Amino acid sequence: MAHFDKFANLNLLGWNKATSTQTIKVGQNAHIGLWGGGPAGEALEVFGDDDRICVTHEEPKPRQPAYKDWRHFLLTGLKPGTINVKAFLPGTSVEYAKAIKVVVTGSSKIKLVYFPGERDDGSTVIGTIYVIGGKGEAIRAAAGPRVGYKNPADGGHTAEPTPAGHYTLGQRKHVVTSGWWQSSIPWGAKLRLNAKGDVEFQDDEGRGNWVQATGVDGVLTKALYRYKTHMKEKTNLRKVDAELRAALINPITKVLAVTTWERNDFGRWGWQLMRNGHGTVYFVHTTPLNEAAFKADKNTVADLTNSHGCIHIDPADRDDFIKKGYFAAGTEFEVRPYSESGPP
Amino acid sequence: MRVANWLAVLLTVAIGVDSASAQVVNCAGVADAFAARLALSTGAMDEDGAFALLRSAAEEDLRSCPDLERQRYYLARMAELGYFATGARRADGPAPGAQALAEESQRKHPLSVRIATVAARLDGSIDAARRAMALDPGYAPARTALAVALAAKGDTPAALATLAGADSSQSAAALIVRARIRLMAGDANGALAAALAARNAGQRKEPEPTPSRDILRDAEELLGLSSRALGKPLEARKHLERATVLGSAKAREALAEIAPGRRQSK
Repeated sequence: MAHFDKFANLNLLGWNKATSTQTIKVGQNAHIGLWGGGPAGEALEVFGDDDRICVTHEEPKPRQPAYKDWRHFLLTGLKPGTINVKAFLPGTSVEYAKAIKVVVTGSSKIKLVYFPGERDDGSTVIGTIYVIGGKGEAIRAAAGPRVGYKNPADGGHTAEPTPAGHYTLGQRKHVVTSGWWQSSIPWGAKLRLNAKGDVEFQDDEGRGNWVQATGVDGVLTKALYRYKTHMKEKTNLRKVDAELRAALINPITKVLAVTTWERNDFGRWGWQLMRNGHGTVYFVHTTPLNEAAFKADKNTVADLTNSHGCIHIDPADRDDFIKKGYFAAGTEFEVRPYSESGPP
Repeated sequence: MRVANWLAVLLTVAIGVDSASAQVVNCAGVADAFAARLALSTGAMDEDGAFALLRSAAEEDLRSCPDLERQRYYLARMAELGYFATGARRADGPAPGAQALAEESQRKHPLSVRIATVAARLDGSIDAARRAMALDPGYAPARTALAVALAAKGDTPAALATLAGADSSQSAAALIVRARIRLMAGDANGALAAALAARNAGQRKEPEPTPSRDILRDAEELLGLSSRALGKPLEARKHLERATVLGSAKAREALAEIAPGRRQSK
């Protein structure tokens, strides 16, 4: 039979070996080992019976030969309660090790903890953002790829794993950056044609000033020009302006193809991950495709894709977490290493 | 050939709607607007998403203007690439019904070389590729499709001859095919050179809508496989890891076969 226990230098705090009980506080972690496998050496399936109280992830296997028969699990307390962590023969309901009890006590202010490497869905690595100190809520989220790469078509951007660490969420905002040309205009900006026939946008969902988008001095023209020159395309501002007009203004009717900008790469809202009070290049946000699907059907489940390092979420989850106050400026946001996998 | 400029169709949105609410759609304008949007489809942070959104736009256009060849081709091409109607993308090949869609599009537009090329690639036969090429011998993707079909039948010399020309003049997609055929023919050095050229050509515009991640994935996969064939396991591992992250199943399998820690020969 396999069995749970502490091995090597795993912290014994809160562990009662006699009763196989681990006690942790809300928002804290504990580590536990599992020795052995099934009768044929197969890897057992390990999970807790209520991931809203405590969630179980597997750490990489110990490298030292002395611990080659051990597996290493991380327990994270999300809200008060008691669960059992069990080990089953694969694909069955047959327990093959004595279960341990995990008691989660105390309380915590709201904190979000994100495990980006929980599972691979095809070529997409998908994780979960858990709420600590809430009601056991969790949402799917896709961060950067497991291994970084540089796609020449990305205009100089790299795609990289989202760095593990402790952050706080910045203010909710419509993210604007000329680094991605379609993001040079905020999501939801109203569009209009001015007297000269240039496209203008109104910032802040219709409450701000009107700003020129097309024309050789337009924000969008300049951003697209920058992208194209980075891509070594031989062009000029007038040519880029003409291309933009062709895409934004119906060539026959001369009216705008769209009157609201919904192509910003960061979706409707973004939260910058802040470190020591300073902004990082990483945001929590949605994508235009998922926003479009959500707009058409509020019950749709978003197909999440890996980002360049940001954290992609489903618009429905975003709205839910805004409503519950979890996505708020100052909320602690921890990103865990990709090597922590599961729960199944 | 373009449909008459002011060809308009009357659309009634539902039975019983009075004529005042009918909408006049100018199909030439719809075609031009789509072409302009397609030309600006690069540079999106979520490239797959940008393709999927354009796919929806093409579908929408065809509801009011069913004869638009460009939109019909775009839908066939997206299905070939594995984009579902919902916007999701399959990791392992064309979307279900892709071939039927391409064939139906071909019936509607029998003179369209690009639709014929998509249909030929999905069909895989030399005959289908030759038929596509006959429509426009200057259309490079049709030529590339023929090379793939020839290589699949084991005729790698004929396949490589079909792709003859300087690397610098070829699209990344054609270079990927060239690298694959060279590797198949046992020319690992040639494959490595073509794969490297494909990766470096990633900034150029492709003749067909092609996710740049696919080009990068295939280039890295071929760089890895060529390096492995040349006895450079460390170099191979680096490229295969990148290809795996980008979704290459072949790279994942090859990676598992490379023993960790094996010393690289010089």
